[in-house]
Amino acid sequence: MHTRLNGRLVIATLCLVLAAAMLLGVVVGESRISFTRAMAIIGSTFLPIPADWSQSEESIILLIRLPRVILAALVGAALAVCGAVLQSLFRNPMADPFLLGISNGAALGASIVLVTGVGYGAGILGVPVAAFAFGLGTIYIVYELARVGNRVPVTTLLLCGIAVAAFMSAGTSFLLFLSGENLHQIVFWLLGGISGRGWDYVLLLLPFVIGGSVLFFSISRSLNALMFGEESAQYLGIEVESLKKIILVAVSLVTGAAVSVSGIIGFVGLITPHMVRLWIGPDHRILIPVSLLFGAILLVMADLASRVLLAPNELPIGIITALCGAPFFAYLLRRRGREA
Amino acid sequence: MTIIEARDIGFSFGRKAVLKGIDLDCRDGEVLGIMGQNGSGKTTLLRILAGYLQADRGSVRYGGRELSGMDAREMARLRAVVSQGVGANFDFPVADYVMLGRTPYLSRFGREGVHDYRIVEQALGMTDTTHLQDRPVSRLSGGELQRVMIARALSQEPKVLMLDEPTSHLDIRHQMEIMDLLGDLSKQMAVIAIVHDLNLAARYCGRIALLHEGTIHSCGPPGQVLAPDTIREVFGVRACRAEDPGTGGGIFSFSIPGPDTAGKSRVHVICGGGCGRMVLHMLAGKGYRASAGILNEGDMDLEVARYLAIPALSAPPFSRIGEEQARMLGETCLEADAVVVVAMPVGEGNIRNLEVAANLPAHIPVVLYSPECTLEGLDCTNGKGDLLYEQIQGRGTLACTLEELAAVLENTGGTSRREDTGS
Repeated sequence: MHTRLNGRLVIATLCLVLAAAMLLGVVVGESRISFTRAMAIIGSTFLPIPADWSQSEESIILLIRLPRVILAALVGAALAVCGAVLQSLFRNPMADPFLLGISNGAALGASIVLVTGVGYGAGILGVPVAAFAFGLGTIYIVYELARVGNRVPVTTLLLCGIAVAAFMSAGTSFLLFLSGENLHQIVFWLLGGISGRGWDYVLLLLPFVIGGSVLFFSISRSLNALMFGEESAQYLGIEVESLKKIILVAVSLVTGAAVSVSGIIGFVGLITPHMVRLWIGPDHRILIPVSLLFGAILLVMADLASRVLLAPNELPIGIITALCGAPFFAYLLRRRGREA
Repeated sequence: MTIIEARDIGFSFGRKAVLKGIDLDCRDGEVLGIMGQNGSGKTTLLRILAGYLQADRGSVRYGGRELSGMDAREMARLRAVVSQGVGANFDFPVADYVMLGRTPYLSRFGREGVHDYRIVEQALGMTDTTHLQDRPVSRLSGGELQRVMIARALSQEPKVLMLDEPTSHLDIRHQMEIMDLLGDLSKQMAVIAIVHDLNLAARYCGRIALLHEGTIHSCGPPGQVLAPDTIREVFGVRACRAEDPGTGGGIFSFSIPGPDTAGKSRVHVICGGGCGRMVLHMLAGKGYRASAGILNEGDMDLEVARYLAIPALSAPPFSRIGEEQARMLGETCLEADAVVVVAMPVGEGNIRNLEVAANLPAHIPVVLYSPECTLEGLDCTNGKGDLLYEQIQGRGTLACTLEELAAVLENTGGTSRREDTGS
């Protein structure tokens, strides 16, 4: 019982922390805009506050920093929540949203657009749309390869994911080899980043994150049952095969959408649910919302770091998450190993 | 009342037919044990009865309703399954784990109500796990985990409880506690359990369905199903059934039959007073078609022979062996490939045994076995016995250890009798 009470408290606290982190993300930046002024600019969008700031300051806050911070939160939330769900499906805390090759497929899609210029006609969204389509296509291939009749054994799914991911990576490497002057662009995309992404990207990702989160929360009891094996879950009255399909489709859509707007940001999807599980336990009814909030906070902070650390240059955010995530992950594993 | 009716169940893995036409009824108020060798399809049958696997042919009905027409949720309210070796590697509290059993009664966003908590409380109480409810399932001992898994199953409020080897990996006390618990539970629901231990099954199961080569070999009360012949056929072991002084029931002890028992020869053992029991055990262990006698009722050798299912000629307690019995002994010895005479105290009562042995035709090999390697001090008949022992020794071989005896028998009885004639 006490875990449930704790859960609500934790969620409330994290909401506050997320809000604070996002405000920090909006305020901190190269052009110094004071905290109160930034607040006033944001407030003026829905309150009648007289404008005592310049037009460019308003643009920086409302058109550059705000969508970027929101996008960071959405990407972090999407990756973390998908990681949590997949770790339950695979009954393996090492699972992450990129496990089944979705990122490798998306990378190939993005690279094709960046190298050949095909799809630039679609305007600014050419790269994300191609990444999204290739990511989903990859999952579909993996799924069809792993399918035995009406069932999808998760170990086969994993192995097929590895095989297809390797194939997609080879394709991307080949394009990198051919790319010539576009090399920098592709590498930058692969390293993950959300700089210069505006509201259109936010609107692209938002429905996926909201829809996915509601769905994942609604199946959290089933995810709890799934931890103890598929057969056991079936005996509890859960249609496991259809649940698996729902999870795979939803995770693919949400992850695909996140990757398509941000490139490949590693470790958030792996480490967030893992940390949260060590902290509040494996109950998905708490794990899902807490992972979502925690992932959002982590990525907002990582984005902030990517802007500040080498200012005025920006680091790709994927480098930050991996640089901080990998050692911390190792630390968690060691600590847990000693406790056991 | 019959709760599950399975009719003509057939199932194949690929081209290998695992189940070939199984008919099985499961009633409430009893523990039905499913037994059989490894790979005989027990778990497959249980999974089909539980609706996890779909049979290739045949039907499973719960209270007259076809199982294949139900969805997972409906099934989960009718039957609960405790599978084997469920990985519980997560720090999930026992109370929450048992609450998972309420899944088939809860809606997607619905929260557990007072009723659900009460059911969980009862399930914990019935399985004596209330004190564990705050512990994580990953930190339970084998016996505790098994009980908690049963508690989860009970919170499904099932009409049938199915368990796949609920006692495996448990020590003897926990095995018995689990089986006792199943016996209690069977008063409220039907219980089907795959059990490997024949003694446990004989003691706790109301009925046993014995699976052999994809069919039900026999099904009924343990006393009927678990006959030594059946056990040998199905499990490939020699089973000896003895009275269990503790329960009044039967207990089995098992041995692996020697290789190629069919070709082994007949050996008759003349013994008595407990001197022959090691010989009888040795012969039974090596797969000889042994016989024994003549033995008086009450003689320990006779008890041992009966325990080993060795046919024995017997005489009333403390009586002299009569003419007619001696004639029967002679006939039995003539049919044997070899006769073993165990050195034993000889008196007026059993001296006929030695007379018969001494007068056997020369083509019957006779082996004298004396663990003391001496024949002195055995005679209580003023010389008649010694004389007979001398005669027997004169025409046979003396073996002083069981190994020697085994070697001699291997050389004489193993080959055809005619070749030995005259040697």
